Amino acid sequence: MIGRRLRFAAYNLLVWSVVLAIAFPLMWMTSTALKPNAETFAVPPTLLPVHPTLEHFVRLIRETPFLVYMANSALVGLMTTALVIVVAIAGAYGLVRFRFPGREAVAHLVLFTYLLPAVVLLLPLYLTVSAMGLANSLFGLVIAYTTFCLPFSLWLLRSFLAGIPIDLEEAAMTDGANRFRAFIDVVLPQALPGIISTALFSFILSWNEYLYALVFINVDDRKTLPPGVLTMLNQNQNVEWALLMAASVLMTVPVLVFFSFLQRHLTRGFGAGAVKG
Amino acid sequence: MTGIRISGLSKVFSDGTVGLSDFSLDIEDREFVTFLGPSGCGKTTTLRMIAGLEHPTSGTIHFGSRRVDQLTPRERNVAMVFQSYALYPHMTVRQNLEYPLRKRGIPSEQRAAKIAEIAGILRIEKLLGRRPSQLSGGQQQRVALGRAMVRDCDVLLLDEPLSNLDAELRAHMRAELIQLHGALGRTMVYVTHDQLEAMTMSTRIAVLNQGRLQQVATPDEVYRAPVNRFVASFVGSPAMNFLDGHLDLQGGIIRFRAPALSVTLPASRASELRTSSTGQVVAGIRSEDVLLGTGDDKASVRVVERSGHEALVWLDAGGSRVVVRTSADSPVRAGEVIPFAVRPNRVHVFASDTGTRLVGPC
Repeated sequence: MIGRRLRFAAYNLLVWSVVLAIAFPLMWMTSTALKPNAETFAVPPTLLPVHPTLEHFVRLIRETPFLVYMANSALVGLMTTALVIVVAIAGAYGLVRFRFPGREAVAHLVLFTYLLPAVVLLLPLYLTVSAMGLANSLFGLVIAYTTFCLPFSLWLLRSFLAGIPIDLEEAAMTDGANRFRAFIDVVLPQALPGIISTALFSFILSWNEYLYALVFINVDDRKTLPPGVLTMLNQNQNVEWALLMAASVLMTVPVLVFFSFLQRHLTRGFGAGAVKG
Repeated sequence: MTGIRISGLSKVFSDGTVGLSDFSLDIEDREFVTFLGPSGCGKTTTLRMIAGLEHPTSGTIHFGSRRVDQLTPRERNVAMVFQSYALYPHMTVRQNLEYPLRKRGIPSEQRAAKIAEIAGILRIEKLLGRRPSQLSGGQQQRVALGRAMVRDCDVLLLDEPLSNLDAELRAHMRAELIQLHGALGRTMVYVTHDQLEAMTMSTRIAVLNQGRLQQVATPDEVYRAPVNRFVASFVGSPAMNFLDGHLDLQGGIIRFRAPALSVTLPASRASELRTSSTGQVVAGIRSEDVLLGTGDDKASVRVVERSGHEALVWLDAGGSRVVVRTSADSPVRAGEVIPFAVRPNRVHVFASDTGTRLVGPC
């Protein structure tokens, strides 16, 4: 009886310490964003703001190009996500359903891209993109991000599609659909959890990406959030911590919203028994 | 009016395995033909080629006068019931039934009427709002049938549709399928490895083995006069008894001799027999064609299986196992040595090497 209680307590202690370790920086970030400047460096530090204020958020939105960066980031994120999904699902479908020589090799080679550190690819990709006339263009970033996201997405969707019985498509085809219709009507709804995982992955990656965004874009009103915010707040050698924290909070919110909205769909579809046998 | 004419159909898969070789068959309009055979015999491959899900390596398929072997499934106007049912999991039963009608551009009022009619026939009206995952196996089976029946297809194809059901439900669905075939008046092609399903439902059975068509005949004929040892062994339960022995042909009298059995075959059979086919042969005898308690040969009783309405007696006849079907009140007991005889006119004789029939029953 006591042993069981002890184990329960120990288990909870462990779980909560992990949760706290992960959540504390986020709490500290939020807390600092809400503190007036005088309180930011107060000794001893206050855990929660004594005089909470929204002044940093107001400044950020009124006096800085933060919203422009955010719009750019959103645009790049959504475009990357859309492009990745379309290309990855078509590619994954090809790898799963069509037999051609070297099919397995292609599927495995795709992951080889991740052996190269992103820095190594930075220059070649930049030269390629600027040769395409897309330097300083958000679409150049979209292309670069797509090349990062595609291999993993392809791999993820391939395993998802492989789990969808071919019977369903064949049934749709005998029911009068052509292959494309069967794909849209039957395969896509079944692959939805995989598509959503891919979407989250792609969006978060391009939302947070710093290095490429810094190198590719040199025009201020086309910058995305990570380089935009950092250069903006780093200009005078002194970091405006409160403002930076406010920006971080605002950058986190869309991801959280995106995630919490899609997460519910993530597991849906797993439960439905497609095929008996 | 759609018959199916298949000629010279062959399928060689990309890895070189032969799925089907030189298969020809005419299926008449409104016929219920069953492809029967063990797994890997090519029956499903053939069905899939009829459906248009698999491309033949050579040969042609006609529906009526229309050549279809290069057409897509949609253009062929076939409907198919899959072994896995393949119900669309994200759609309700109603949407599943509606899907083929939608794809054919049938207006919504007609769709609703058609769905109501089919749901009535299959007694699934109350399930229309549910999703496949909320249905039992038998209910899913009905919906799968409904989805295939709901539109006016030329040919209805069924790929082992009952194999996922339990025994009781399977017996029930067999009877329903027979009724449905009568009511729908469609050409139906049915694939199974279950000889009982083939025997009970079909107008004709096509028996396949290793990619080759063995025999096409009515269920009665396949049972009564199998053309080779494979067909003889595959059809019937319990399986036919096979005894190794040899044929003597002397003065117009044929005798089959085995260590524990000797039968004089009817004189009328002698003419079928070429002299070259004497020698080593295999005799095939159905369990109901062995008589206990009479005759010159003796065998010991190993096991008696009584199932209420009949009894199966397992004999050891000179080292060969012989299963005998007899009446439930037979007094035979395990351990006894009893006389037995076979009905001479019901003996099948097959060549021991090729398995082809040398002497048939009369």
